[in-house]
Amino acid sequence: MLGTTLTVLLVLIALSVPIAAVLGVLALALGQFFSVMPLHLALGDVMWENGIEFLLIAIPLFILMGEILLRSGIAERMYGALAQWLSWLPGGLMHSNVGSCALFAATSGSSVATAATIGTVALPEVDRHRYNERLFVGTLAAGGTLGILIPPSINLIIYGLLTDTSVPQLYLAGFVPGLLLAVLFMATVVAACLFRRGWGGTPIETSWAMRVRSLVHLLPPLGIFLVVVGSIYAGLATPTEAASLGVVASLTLAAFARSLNLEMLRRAVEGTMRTTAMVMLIILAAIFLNFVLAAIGLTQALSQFVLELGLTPMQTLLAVIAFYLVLGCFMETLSMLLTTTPLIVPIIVSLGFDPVWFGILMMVMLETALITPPIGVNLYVVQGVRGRGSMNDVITGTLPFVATMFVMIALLVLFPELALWLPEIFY
Amino acid sequence: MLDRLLRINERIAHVAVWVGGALMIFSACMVTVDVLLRKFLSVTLGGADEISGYLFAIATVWAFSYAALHRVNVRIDALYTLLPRPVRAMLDLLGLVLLTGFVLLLTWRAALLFADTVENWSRSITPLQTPLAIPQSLWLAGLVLFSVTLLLIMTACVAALLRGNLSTVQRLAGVRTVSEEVEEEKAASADAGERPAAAGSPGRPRAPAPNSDEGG
Repeated sequence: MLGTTLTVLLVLIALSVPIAAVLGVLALALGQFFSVMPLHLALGDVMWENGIEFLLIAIPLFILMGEILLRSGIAERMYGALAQWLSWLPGGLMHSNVGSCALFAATSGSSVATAATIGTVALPEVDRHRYNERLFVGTLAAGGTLGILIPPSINLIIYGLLTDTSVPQLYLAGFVPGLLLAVLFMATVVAACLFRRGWGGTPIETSWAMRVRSLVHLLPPLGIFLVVVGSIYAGLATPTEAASLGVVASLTLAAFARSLNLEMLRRAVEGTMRTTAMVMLIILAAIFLNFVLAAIGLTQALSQFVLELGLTPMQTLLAVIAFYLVLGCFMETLSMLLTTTPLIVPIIVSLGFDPVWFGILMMVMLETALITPPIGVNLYVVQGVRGRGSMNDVITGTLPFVATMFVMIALLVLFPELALWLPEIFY
Repeated sequence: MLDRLLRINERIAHVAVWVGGALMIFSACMVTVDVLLRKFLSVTLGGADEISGYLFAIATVWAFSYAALHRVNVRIDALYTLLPRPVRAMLDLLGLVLLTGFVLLLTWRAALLFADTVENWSRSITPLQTPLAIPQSLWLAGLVLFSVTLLLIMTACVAALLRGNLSTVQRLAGVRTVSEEVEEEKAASADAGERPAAAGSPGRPRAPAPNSDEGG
């Protein structure tokens, strides 16, 4: 049963069958062969019940919020403001790349959107200030990945739903590791630029007066962040309600920035619904697969199989991490999250690890997958925005940050408190 | 004939996406009002979460066709990109057939669920006691539209494959290239740059999207 499942799964994925169809067909086949009950009878119910699931509504709402903010020009102004404050560090604007990505990540749930948006604003600066281009594009690709770790993350909602883990707790757990990772990225830049003086580019013009004046451009993203995340922890709103508040707040901001009009809303809505449809079809199929896996007892069989290997929990964990890092070189992150969570997380939890902590560890591993060649979505996005030179520049420039992520993974394994400290205070 | 059907389908899918998006904005506003009323006046609209659940389910399935026409199905192309074009076209068709099969089965089960709901005139077990037939009929309609869309694309693909027209298969069902994705994100960020002027101006020329008569 185990072997069949994994073989079918891998073959269908390798044949580039759409992931939604892979999960759906696999679920139907498993139900047909390994269950006495005709499980496909439940397909309609499972799809309807989860289709109206209130928690899932947070996903299109966060996407919509990001689409509106993207079109209201706050990213450009935010980048300029952070450049004023961060560019004194060795590495100059590369720190505003990471900082803007972190801050933009706090208003959008998507890593690709983050990398593309900040990349478009930042890349013209490479020539103007004579940066080392490789390292510069590396900061964009790596910084862009922060989108799935720093709340409000869409991937954490999906993880929470599939594993029955509290999304507010996951969001709290994501804070410290997210900020720490951003700081580690900056430290990597500093280290590289101290090592090679010329990489850091020429300084940009700045003064305290300009810095203070720029602060006003940081208010919109901070405001959105406070509305969304603040309302959750003030006990005012569930994640979905917070996302609704965020949509209304971003509409208000766009209105103040005079960018709110029907044309803009039409484009934002088209972008939102296209992404929503893509994500939801896979999620619904994954939920159905989850249901089938539990019904035929495959989840337990897999846990049993791993237990019988006789590895210590730590050895198993390391094997799982290695598995994700290798898989991440070839698979896109959302598919990875949805296909592996139902199988891997029950094993991890049965070994006594905390599901909230593992959720955060998984996000960091997914972030790594976004920038590990040959298939690292952010690498392609940044190269695409750059539109010149060779893909190898992006890959080389990103490698130091891949190493930084390995450090982050090690830190999370050695010090689980990094993730668990905040949730333990609140809950 | 087939091309005309596909174009009509594209129009319907486009309108469905706008309506779905409007429903999502409406639910965001409704839930926001509910949260504010609850906080400041300690009253609640009652059922805002339930209604937004229905709107969400409907908006999602209505967007499926649009997504299919724009080929945004996630596919892993690690191996795909290494293969010669004829093999890729076969894989495009295989993926499409499996997806269509799954969706047809899903639509059929959803229709049976709907038939049950109508027969028993089931209501939700909530204070609203919504007659479920109302949201479910709109939901089923979206799934039927999705099935029709996939069948149309599949027929067009088979026809193109029989004529040996590989580029049409790629245009209808191929894996989207990264440059297409990036063009879209860039176009989105570019929107921000034309703020006040955008108000009255018609859509700018954008990166050509092969499946769309709108270029979006």
